[in-house]
Amino acid sequence: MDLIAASPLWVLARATGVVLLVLLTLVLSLGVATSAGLRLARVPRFAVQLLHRDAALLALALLVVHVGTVVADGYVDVGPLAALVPFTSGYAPVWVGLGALALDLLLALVVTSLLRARLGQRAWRAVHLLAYATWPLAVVHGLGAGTDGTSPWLLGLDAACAALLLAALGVRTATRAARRAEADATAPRRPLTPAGAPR
Amino acid sequence: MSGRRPAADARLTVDWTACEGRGVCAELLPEVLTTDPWGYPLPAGPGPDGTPRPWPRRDGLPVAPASVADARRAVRMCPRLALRLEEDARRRA
Repeated sequence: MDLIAASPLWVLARATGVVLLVLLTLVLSLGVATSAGLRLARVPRFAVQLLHRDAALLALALLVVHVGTVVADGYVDVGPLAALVPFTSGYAPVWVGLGALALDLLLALVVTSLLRARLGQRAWRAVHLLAYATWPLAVVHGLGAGTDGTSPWLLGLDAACAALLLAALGVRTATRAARRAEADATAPRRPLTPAGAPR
Repeated sequence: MSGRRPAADARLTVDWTACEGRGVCAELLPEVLTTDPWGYPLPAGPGPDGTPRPWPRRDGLPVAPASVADARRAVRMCPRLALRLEEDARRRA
């Protein structure tokens, strides 16, 4: 309680960092599910896609709070520019820089996704693959820049997030392999008629 | 935005080289689209002889005014940007 009274902004900065770890893991896992066209139990694909989008927008909003509180608190020497320009921070330039890099990438991901119809699929996808770099950057930033970075509970949370992500990637790989096997098994036996012709 | 007003004549077309049969469009437009066994979109409802209807060859699939808003959303959300809605409200005015 004393700590909160002493520096509520700093506490908020740490808390949003932890929530962002979980949220960004969810965003990436839902993105992996979207790219595989997976349905989660009974949740239709479009809903998985919307969840992915909304969670990402929520993460961006939280990121504004996270950065804003760190800068405003002044407990550590991180200027407003250092939050956007990597490796210019006075405090822990490398660790904070990785976070700034993750922020820049997330911004690029969100902006290009909002403009996907104008950009075209290829350009959008090329940028969107950067999501796989954003997550590790954010996680490593949390390990080094955070004051809780190496505490057992946060390391445990890191491990749980990594496990969730690996599970999502595993399910996607398995789903794609199963679809390919099914396509291989059914293709030769089906006549080459237009889709939907009577079977 | 001219795209916001109800269209007198809206037609849905698919870029078949881009479509991967993810099936998001059929989820969002069940009254217009269904899917074939591989997930690719087909016009909803059986044809005259009870078999699935084929995709219209040239003009695209007509979309009723009540479904146009959903069709726009399906176009926006297509994971491959393979769906297009042509709205001809202006030409008729």
